[in-house]
Amino acid sequence: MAVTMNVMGMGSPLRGQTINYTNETEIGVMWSRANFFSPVAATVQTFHGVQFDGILSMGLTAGIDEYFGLRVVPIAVGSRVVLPRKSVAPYLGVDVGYGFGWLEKKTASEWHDGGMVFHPAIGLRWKTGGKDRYLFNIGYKRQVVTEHTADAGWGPGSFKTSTYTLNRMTIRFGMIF
Amino acid sequence: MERKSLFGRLSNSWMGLLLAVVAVLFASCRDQVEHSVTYKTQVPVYIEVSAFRSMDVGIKPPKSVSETGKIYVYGDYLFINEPQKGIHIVDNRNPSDPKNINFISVPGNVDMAVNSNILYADSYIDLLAFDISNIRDVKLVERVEAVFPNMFVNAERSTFMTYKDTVITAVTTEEGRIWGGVWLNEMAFASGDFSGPSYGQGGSMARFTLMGGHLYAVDNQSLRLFDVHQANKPEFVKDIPLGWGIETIFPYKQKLFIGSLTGMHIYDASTPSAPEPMAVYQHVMACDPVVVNDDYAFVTLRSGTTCRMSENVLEVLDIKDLYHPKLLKSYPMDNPHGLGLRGNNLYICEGDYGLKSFDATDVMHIGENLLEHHKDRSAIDVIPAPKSLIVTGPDGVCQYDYSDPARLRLLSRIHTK
Repeated sequence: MAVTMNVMGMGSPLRGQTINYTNETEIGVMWSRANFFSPVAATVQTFHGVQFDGILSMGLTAGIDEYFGLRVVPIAVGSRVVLPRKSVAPYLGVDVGYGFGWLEKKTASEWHDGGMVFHPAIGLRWKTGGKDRYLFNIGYKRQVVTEHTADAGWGPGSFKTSTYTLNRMTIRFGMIF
Repeated sequence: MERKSLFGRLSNSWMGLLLAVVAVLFASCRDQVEHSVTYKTQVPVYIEVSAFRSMDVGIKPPKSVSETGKIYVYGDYLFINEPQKGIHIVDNRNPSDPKNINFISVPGNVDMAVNSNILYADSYIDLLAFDISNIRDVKLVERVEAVFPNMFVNAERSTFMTYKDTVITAVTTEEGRIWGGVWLNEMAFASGDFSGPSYGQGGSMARFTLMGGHLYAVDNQSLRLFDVHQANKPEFVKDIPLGWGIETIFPYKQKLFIGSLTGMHIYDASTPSAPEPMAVYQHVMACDPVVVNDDYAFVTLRSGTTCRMSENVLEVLDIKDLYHPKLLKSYPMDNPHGLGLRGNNLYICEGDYGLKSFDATDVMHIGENLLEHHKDRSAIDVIPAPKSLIVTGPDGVCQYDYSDPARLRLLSRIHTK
């Protein structure tokens, strides 16, 4: 379901390029050797963007990361490079953005702030006929989340701020539409 | 063509690169956390005696209460200690509309008692006496020097140590739990404790009380006795060592009930100048304010910073034979602090869990006779005063109409600011 646009305007840096709408939807797991919440977390995300000349894609990424004890909604600017191969092709991706704590319960004594998310990945893309292509990639996701706790056992008026930096290896499988 | 050959080389080694990335990430991915905890605590402060005696003492214009300590009722006046700073005097003729009259600046003040219009207040190492017969013109009439010597830090008695409230922010970092291993320790912070608060009427957490022409003041280790027959001229009589961890003192019919971290001491004060020990009821290490009637003593034990190794309970003791107090029954509580007894109604301050009122007519079934539980405000100490039930907490001082013990009605609040 690719939308093709020919940019033909004189002087345009994109002159002569073919721009396609692209979508990657992935599901996977995230793992950390020394962890908070749970050693294995689940992740699902979707990338929507435009592809230039079939190699470079730019767009926005949104998803949900379930750390089993913490749920984050990352929204990021993403870029993808898929090298030109007919069947199996090397794949590079990077997302930089902010993970929101919207799905965490907010009470008078405990609430969460999100934080920066950075997620580079390398992998493979392969075709199985038609235009559907599959993705497998391995990456590193760095997600910062801050937890605020009031009166958490250190006397009246005490306040605790815990800033988690979650460093996770990601293994994801997905489809490119 | 040149680009294609480069991509070709990359493609050939791509699987190797993927495996290398997996190996590096597998070894190096570790969650981290930085904890920043801001909490109130006390730090030691050393003060020269000469500097202390030159500090400003006396009446000041009224000001808002920033922190509540002990409370004391004398006639129509309510005295609210602001720990280490002084005493707020409140006109409490109408408990529904208490009026802040003035503030007496008393450095190092923690407790107080009133005898015949003379207010006694500790001031670090000294005992001060103020004439309050004209409540709007309170005058310092006597300073008994160095009667609380446990604070001195040197033999010359030129310097003493106190503790000052301070706010500390502690930052620590840690890594997550090793997969398949155990959690790394979190920071070990002790939970904060409240230092809450009789002539007049004091709360169950008072350390000053008046009986038989004598002022009894407990410090951490002893009972200090002052002759106050001449109210404006308190005289230090003697010091009775009590052991360790003395916390509260409660007078009842010429008896003194002294709560400590390890038990309740009962003293016969029928000869006020020479109280005689009658019994010590020992319990596990806990903080234990106490109130009594003719037959029973009600003791609350709680866990906390200085009250470790304890459970949170209300204990009822049979004290018909004061030489042999016997534990009758123990009731689980949340985090009991001060308590008050009026007739057969028992009021227990449960710290952050609020205020509970019980019908204590049947001492063997108090737990089943909870009348009310007010959870909306923290409660540290309570005085069942003639006109109102006065409850203190970190948020201020609340007064309730308790004419119907089963239905307390809030009359007023003095907010801390």
